[in-house]
Amino acid sequence: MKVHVVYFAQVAEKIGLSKEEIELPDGSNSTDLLTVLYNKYPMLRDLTFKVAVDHELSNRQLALKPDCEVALLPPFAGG
Amino acid sequence: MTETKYKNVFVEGPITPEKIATSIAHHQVKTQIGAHDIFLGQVRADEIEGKTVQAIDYSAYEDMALKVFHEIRESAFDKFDLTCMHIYHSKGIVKSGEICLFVFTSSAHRKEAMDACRYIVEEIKEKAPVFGKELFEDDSHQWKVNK
Repeated sequence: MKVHVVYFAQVAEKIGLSKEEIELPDGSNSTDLLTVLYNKYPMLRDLTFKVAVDHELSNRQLALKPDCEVALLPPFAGG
Repeated sequence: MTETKYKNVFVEGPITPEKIATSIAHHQVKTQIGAHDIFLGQVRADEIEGKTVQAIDYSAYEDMALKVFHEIRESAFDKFDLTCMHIYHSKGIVKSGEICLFVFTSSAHRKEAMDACRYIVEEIKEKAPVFGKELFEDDSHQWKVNK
């Protein structure tokens, strides 16, 4: 299945990309996706970020649906 | 693709004193209001390792941010007896000394307006996926992190 990954701020800057599509085996979860991303972009290990799936933040491992949007969000700085 | 079902809170560039004054004036017809509270976030010229912040370039995960701002608004109306509430946040470049966040709460009495205003500001800082790139005079930058 295909998932849409979006990157912001220092994460986007470090990996040089703001979004991409990643192909994963059906039934993959957010941890599986992160494993793929850490292999593809080892510098991600040095960065602090939270993961949101379809606009919901979660610290837990989440099941991913085909075509879902996963965001890697560095620390917030609003206000 | 930007969702349109949530109210837009983003303003391009700084929030001007004129916008704030106009917003206050618009409430003069709402005579059940007895108290307003206003929070204004201003860009600070922090000095970091000998360099001074000239401006912050704000960006956001807009689709999610608008949903989060909507949820904050709904929960504030649930928690506090408010007559009305307005939230505006800048995106793009805001120079030091300029306003980047405007939260405006109105109620019959001061306590509700003041408590709600503080609650909304804290929620925004913690939950809204907004990012700030602090720009220095030598064209270098660093990413701001809320404390």
